[in-house]
Amino acid sequence: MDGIDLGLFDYDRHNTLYYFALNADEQIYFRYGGRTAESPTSRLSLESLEIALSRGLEQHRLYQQGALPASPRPEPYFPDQIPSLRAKVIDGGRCVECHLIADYELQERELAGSAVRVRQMYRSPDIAVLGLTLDLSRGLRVAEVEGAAAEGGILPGDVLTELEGTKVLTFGDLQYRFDKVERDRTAIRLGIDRAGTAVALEIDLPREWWATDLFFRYWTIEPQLYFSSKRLDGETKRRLGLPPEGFACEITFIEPRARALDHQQLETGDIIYAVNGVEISPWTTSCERHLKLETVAGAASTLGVLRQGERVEMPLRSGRQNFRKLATKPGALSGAAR
Amino acid sequence: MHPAFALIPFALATTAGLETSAQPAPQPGAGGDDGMVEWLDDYDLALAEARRSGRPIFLEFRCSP
Repeated sequence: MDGIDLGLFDYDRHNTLYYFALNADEQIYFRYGGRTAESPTSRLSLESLEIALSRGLEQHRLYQQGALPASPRPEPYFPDQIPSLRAKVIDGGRCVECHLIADYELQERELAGSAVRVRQMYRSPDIAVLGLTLDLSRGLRVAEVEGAAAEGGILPGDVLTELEGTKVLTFGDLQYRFDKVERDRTAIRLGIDRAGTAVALEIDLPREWWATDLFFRYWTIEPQLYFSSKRLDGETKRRLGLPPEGFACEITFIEPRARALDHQQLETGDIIYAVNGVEISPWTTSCERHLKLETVAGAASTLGVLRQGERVEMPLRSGRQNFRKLATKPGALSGAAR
Repeated sequence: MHPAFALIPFALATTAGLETSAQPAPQPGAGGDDGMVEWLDDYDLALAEARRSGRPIFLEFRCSP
C-alpha cells in the first residue's frame, strides 16, 4: 500500500475487499465494495459485481468516444505522508495494512486536536437508516421502503442513480457518497430512475443517521467504556428531573475487566446523566456515544450518576484497544463538529 | 489483515458480457486460455497496459493471507 495514491483511491480502509474500475487517465468509473458490521462481504455478490462491471464498461465506451466528462484528479496523498505510519510501519519494512492507514491517520488527528470523530470514526453510514432495503442483485433497486425514504416519496422498484448530485453506479459508490455527507445535515438529495423517468427527491435524515457499529474499527481511537447502557425515554427523564433532550442512559451491563482495571465504580441500574458537567449533546441522546465522541481514549472523566435516586459524581477512565496506539496527550480532545 | 492490491485490464468478458477480439498471445493482465485471470501487481505497468490495449483497469484492494 505504501506506493498507492490515497487521494485518488479514497475509500473506507476498514473494507476487507474493495475494487475500483478506472481508465488509463485515472478517471474512476465506479467503486465496488462496502460492508456492514455483520460481515465484510455482506454487500458483495457475483450478481452485483456483474452489474457493476457492465456499468463500468458503459462508462469506458463513453470515454473512448470522448463523451465522458473530465473529472478533477484529487490531490495526491501517500501513506508515507502520515508520520506515525511511516515511523512505525513503513520504515520498519512492515506491510502497510489498509486499516493501519485509517488507524494512524485518526490517531494523529486526535493528538493534534483536529479529529472529527462524528465523521472520521463513524464511517460509512448505512443507507438502510433511511428505511431503504435494496435488492443489490439487481443494482441499486429499491426492494422495500419505509420510514424517511417512504415519507420522501421513494417507491419500491425505484433505482437510485444520484446522491447529492453525484452519479452512483454501485453500492460502493452509494456508501462512499453517503459517507461524504456532512454530519450536521438534516436532509439529502437523491436522484432515482422510476421506470425510465429521472426523479429528484429530498429525504429527511433521521437523528444520528451517521452512527455505525464500531466493533470492526476497534484499532481506531474509539474509547473503550467497558459498559453497556440503554437510553432513557422522555417520560423517564421528565420524572427524574432530567432534560428530555439529554443523553441520560441506564447501565445494563458492566464488563468484568472494568473492575479488574479499576476504571470505574458503575453498577447495573445506575443512570449516567452527565459527563464532565455536560448533560446534552448536539449529536446524540446516548451517553455511550457521547463519551465516544467527546473523550480521549484512556483519559479520565467525571460522571454525574443517579444511583437509587441520589445524585453522585464518580470517575470513569476509558481504555485504549491497541498496542499500536500513540501516546495519549491529555487535553488533545477531538471536536465532534461535522 | 494483509493488504494486497492487484489490477487488471478488464478481461472479464464472460462476466460483463463484453465481446473481446481474439488475441494472438496472452497479454499482461488478460485472461488466459484456461479462463483464469492473470492479475498484475504493478500499478504503472497496468496503466501502461491499459493505455496500450484500450481496456479499463479493474483494481482490487484485498486483505487476505
